Amino acid sequence: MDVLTVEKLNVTFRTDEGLKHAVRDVSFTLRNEKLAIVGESGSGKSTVGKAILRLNPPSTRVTAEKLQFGKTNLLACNEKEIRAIRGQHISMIMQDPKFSLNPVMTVGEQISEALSVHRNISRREAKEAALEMLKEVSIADPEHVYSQYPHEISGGMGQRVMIAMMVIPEPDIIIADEPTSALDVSVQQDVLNILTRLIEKKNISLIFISHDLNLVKKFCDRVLVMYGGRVVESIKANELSNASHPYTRGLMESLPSLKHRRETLPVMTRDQNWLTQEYTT
Amino acid sequence: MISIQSLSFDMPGSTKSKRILNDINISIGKGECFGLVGESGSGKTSILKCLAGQFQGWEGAIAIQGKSLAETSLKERSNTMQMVFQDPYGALHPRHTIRKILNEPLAIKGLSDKSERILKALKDVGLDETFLPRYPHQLSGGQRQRVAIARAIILDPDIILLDEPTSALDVSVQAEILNLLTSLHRRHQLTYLMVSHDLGVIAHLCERVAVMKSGEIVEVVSRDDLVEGNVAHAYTKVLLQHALSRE
Ligand SMILES: Nc1ncnc2c1ncn2[C@@H]1O[C@H](COP(=O)(O)OP(=O)(O)O)[C@@H](O)[C@H]1O
Ligand SMILES: Nc1ncnc2c1ncn2[C@@H]1O[C@H](COP(=O)(O)OP(=O)(O)O)[C@@H](O)[C@H]1O
Ligand SMILES: [Mg+2]
Ligand SMILES: [Mg+2]
Repeated sequence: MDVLTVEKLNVTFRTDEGLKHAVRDVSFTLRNEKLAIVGESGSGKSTVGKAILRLNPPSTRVTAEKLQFGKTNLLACNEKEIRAIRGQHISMIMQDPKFSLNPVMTVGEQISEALSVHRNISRREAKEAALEMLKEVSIADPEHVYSQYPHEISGGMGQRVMIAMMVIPEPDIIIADEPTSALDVSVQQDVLNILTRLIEKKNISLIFISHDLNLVKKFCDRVLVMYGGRVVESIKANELSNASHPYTRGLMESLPSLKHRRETLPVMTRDQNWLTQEYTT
Repeated sequence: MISIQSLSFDMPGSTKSKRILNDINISIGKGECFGLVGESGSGKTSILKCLAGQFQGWEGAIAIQGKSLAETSLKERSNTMQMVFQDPYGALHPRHTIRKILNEPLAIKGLSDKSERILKALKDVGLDETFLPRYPHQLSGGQRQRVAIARAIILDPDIILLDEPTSALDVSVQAEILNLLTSLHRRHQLTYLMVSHDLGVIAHLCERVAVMKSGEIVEVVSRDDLVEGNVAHAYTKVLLQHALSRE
């Protein structure tokens, strides 16, 4: 079933240097799956994620032929309706959890508050449920973490707390923007496992934004490759190594490899046509 | 070339000091590329900072080309050793032109034929004179890292300390910078001590790697050992397995 349909999404920023057409004719359909959006910095990944939830700055021009979430036409939603969508149906996890959590409230209070709003339960029940939630995201000492402030916890811990917060409303879609990029490899896998377990349990569809092709190759089902604001290739994750677009291939090949070390790494030559040409496989 | 023996360092704090390096022993030969890998906070940058003189008051013995570092002035150190940082933007003065940025180390040393050396350093890193009047913000991330590398090699040092030199770059730009580091290493007979959290990047450039955890070196492995899975410590296995699982 199609959970979200995006057709010809265009995003233009107003900047001091004039208009910046950052997202160009992006179309895709999200099913019950883990869909990756990959590409180099500045290719427009975060802008796409934010445009779905109308989180770009107010002066931004966002147009689309279709932005359909289930029965809801997101383009036709007013501010109040879009806020309800954000609170209950589509959640976004940002790269740095420290910016998303409230710095003057303990981690536990924030989770309890979110829980009591969504489940309409007492404070004591909310605390119990929050501790349960912390356990669910594999935090070994929930009592201790409960009473800590966001700046007192590590990046990996913060990202787990964010995931806990995001799944509380049991949303239909989670948009995770580089959720593990700031984490050490030894915790990256844990965080991905937790995310997978929760979204599978609660039947949540995932949009996973990342610059890390090797990571999405293992972790996601399908991949959209962005370049210069456009989707240049849409491909099954396990077929990434046989990608057809020269940009995707260039990205894959430029990674250093332990098993097959090359003295000199291949360097990509960018083609102007990638910015305009429709690519078909 | 670099010999580090029983290096320990306590970071002074408001109430009590905290041990951030504990009994570090490394010996790096001339012309070698040596890597430090480990998770954030494990002390990689701190080792470089002890070498570069940014951290004072460490214990142990460090010698560069046989000479005790404790008896080497900061000025002398900059003749033999230069550092390149992760964030090329933060490391370059935002209001200085590239010309001024590259001129600075030469001016401090009171060297003549400055323009010539600046042009040569730019060429060495694959840039040209059109960059001289520009400011760092007018450059791409990769170009900025090239400028930072040009500044590091302009005084013809023997050793370059590289702190996550490609972590902030996209993979295609990372490849260009790694290629540049490889070719400079060869052409200038440099010794590298490079820090990265990415085992793939470290193993690409370095023949030997020290794996760090909580301020200590848990083991030193060669590139060949890594490729063959000949590693002893559980943490090295985690790093290796992660790197291999994604190829
Ligand atoms: N608020 C904004 N105002 C102006 N330009 C922006 C803004 N946000 C992003 N951009 C520009 O839009 C392009 C895409 O940015 P972004 O979506 O953040 O890329 P990515 O997430 O792929 O790194 C970039 O050129 C970026 O500089
Ligand atoms: N200037 C500083 N003041 C206080 N603590 C520091 C400072 N620099 C580093 N540390 C601490 O020292 C430890 C090692 O840090 P660092 O060498 O930067 O690690 P790495 O480079 O491996 O990420 C960390 O616990 C860090 O918090
Ligand atoms: Mg982004
Ligand atoms: Mg560091």
